[in-house]
Amino acid sequence: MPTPMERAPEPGLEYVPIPKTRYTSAEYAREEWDSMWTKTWVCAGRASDLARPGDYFTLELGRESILVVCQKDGSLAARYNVCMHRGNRLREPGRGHASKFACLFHGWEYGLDGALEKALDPHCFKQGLDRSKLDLRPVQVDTWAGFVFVNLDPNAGSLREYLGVIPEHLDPYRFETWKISFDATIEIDCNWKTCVDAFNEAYHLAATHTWTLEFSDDTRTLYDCYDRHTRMLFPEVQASLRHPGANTVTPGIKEMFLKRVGVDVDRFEGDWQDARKVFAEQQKKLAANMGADLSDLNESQLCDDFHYTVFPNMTFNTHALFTWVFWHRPHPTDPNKMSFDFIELVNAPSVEIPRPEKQRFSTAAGDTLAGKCNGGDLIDEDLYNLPRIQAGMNSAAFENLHLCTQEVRILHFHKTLEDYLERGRAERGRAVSEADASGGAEKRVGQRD
Amino acid sequence: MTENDLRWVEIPIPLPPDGKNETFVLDGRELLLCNAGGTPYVVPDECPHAKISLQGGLIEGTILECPIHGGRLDLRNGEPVAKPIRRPTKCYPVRSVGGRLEIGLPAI
Repeated sequence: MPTPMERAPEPGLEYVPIPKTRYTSAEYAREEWDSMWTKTWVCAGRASDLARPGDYFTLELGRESILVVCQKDGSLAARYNVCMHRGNRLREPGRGHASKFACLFHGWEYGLDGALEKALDPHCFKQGLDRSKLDLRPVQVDTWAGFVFVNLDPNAGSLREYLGVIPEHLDPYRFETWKISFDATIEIDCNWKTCVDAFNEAYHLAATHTWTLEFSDDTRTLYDCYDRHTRMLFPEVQASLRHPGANTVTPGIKEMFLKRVGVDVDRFEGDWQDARKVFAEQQKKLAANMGADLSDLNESQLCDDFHYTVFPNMTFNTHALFTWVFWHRPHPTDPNKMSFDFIELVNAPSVEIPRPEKQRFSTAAGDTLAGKCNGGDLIDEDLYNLPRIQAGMNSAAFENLHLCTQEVRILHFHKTLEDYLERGRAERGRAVSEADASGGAEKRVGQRD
Repeated sequence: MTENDLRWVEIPIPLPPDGKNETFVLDGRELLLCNAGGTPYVVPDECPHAKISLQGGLIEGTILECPIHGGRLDLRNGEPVAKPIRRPTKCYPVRSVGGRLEIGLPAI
């Protein structure tokens, strides 16, 4: 089934101010944790990193660390990365391979299935060692398109239900066969939503990435909002209408696109629409050499960035032969800090690509990505902005985000987030009412006594 | 120590497949023969952290991972690259002579 191209219904959102405290307040961050992060499906990594029994990786999400492991029978499982004896973390953050998980504190050992296999001096536990309480605590896990998702809510609905339109839209890319070609985590001095927002609109292109207007088009970008998730169809191989070279084959289109796919640009004589057609055709030829199947992708998908945000924190910059996937993870306690995971996937099923080691960077240390990965210079421009945005939001002069129609995905994102938080507030309200009622009843009983 | 100070002794087991390791005993030493991308390395079969066997630990590139606690060592120089391993291990020189693998042990 091809990716639906029809526009989503107009979401009918009001362009209300978004309070800056959602980005700066520790109280709001706690509410997000209690009512959203612990209720949603969150992507933890790639299934290809869990190919062999014993392979594992951790997801560091806020205050929690989740251990995702390939068990002996090849099935995947997720558990809290916490020894049930005294609470020690079992494994350092990252990925690896284990025959069992042994705690460094007192040596308790757990199997790949999470079962407590050995406790030192078991006779010393006068209360016994109840395995039902001492096995590693499970977390829901499921996969889609080669991505592994976890959900901290034991009563959560299915991943499929949660993803809504996303599989229908992105399955034509066949991500399960794509390979990781770059892997980095960047610590950024900003709120996790500041980072999500930065990639949820093309409005910032004209000022932040001015040089890209020659070959990418912010002015004809389309924005669609779905149940929880959103997309923007961001034209590439096409100059912005703001650019003097609009509707022509600019030098940037020739250099950055046509030349790279093997077109002899000195002899190319077509117009800008011909350039897109030629680029798309060349992509198909390259794909054949790499074992990639583009048969379900249309011409737009062969040229443009089909940009999807899977709520709450997963961003796809989807192209026919490569895709950048971002995860925006909250800091455990500080709303002014976050971790930004950036992997590049390549659509090259028949090409041997060694799994790259994760690289670690920090904006506070002045690290940059230029020269370290494809598009590093582009991402650097966002990384430069993000801590400055966060600092500015903390100013007494700034109170609310003031959003335009090109930023509708941010508005929709906030509505989705607030829906979760409202449910949490309602549940807490009910719990307080029930506690009051129960307390009142006890009092009345006491009075009768 | 130079090559002249070593006595070369044949390793009594074949090189395991790429990315795998195998234990063997020589002169009372429990050792681990590792295959990292086709290159053989020998280290003591004892993790500098918990003094347990490293057999079965995953090898990626030249990094050997302890299968029990997840610490990592660089097989090229024995240096720790991930906690909880904090101390280096010994690396024995290995050479191939006529298709046989030999390990360099102290001459005395």
